[in-house]
Amino acid sequence: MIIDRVLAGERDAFGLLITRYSDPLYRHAVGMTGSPDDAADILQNSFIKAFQHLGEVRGRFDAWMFRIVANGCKDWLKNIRRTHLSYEEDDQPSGYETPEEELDRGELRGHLDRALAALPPSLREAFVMKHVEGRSYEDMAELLETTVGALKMRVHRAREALQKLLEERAA
Amino acid sequence: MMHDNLDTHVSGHIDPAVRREEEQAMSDREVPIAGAETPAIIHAWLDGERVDEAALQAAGGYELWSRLQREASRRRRMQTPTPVTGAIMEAIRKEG
Repeated sequence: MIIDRVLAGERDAFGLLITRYSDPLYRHAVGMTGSPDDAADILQNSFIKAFQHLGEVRGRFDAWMFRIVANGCKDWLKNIRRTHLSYEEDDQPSGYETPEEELDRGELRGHLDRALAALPPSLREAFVMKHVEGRSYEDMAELLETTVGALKMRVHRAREALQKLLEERAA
Repeated sequence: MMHDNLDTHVSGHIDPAVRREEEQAMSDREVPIAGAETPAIIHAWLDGERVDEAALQAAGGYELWSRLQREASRRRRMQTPTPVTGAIMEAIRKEG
């Protein structure tokens, strides 16, 4: 098991955990912060914390790791007031596959990012997990330690708020 | 810049009272947003339920959500930039 190898001193084996689990965590952090740069910082700090506390893992590593990243995002939101996003100011590559995709996203991307940033964090988190990360309600409930019903409510409220914000912008 | 809170954040468990307090604090600083009247059939479709195709396409907001679904699909393919994973591993190697 990879964790046992790391705990036994094989530090480089931790890279296997990063490779295996970083993409969905990175998507979560970008979705929550709207900034690839800040998402990268959160991801790095979260993996360092995980490395330092690896002996405390009980149960699923991915769920434990998700909570560290999710809490890092919440700390970021609490401590840095951001009402709009700054993709253009970031110097990190966005992670999208082709230049054509970058162009296609265009206006809708900007509007969606700004609308997401205007949502309360709990609604943004639920929307990002459901639609950007493609998680099931059951998986979300396990990761967030809440009920499927509560999460459906949050996702539905997030959609309604987003629809209103985007329709207002288009009007 | 990140601010650490190791007590509740590394254990993986989040005390429900702490969660409510945090969520309330975060919500308080943002203006509540009144929602649109998104039709139930749109929610059902977005939740992956089987719906009547004709009724779905006639529902208000269908075109908007179709576009958002495509954008979400693109975002689901986003990968961690290689320099980021490299920097994380470099930081791990430097950990005492």
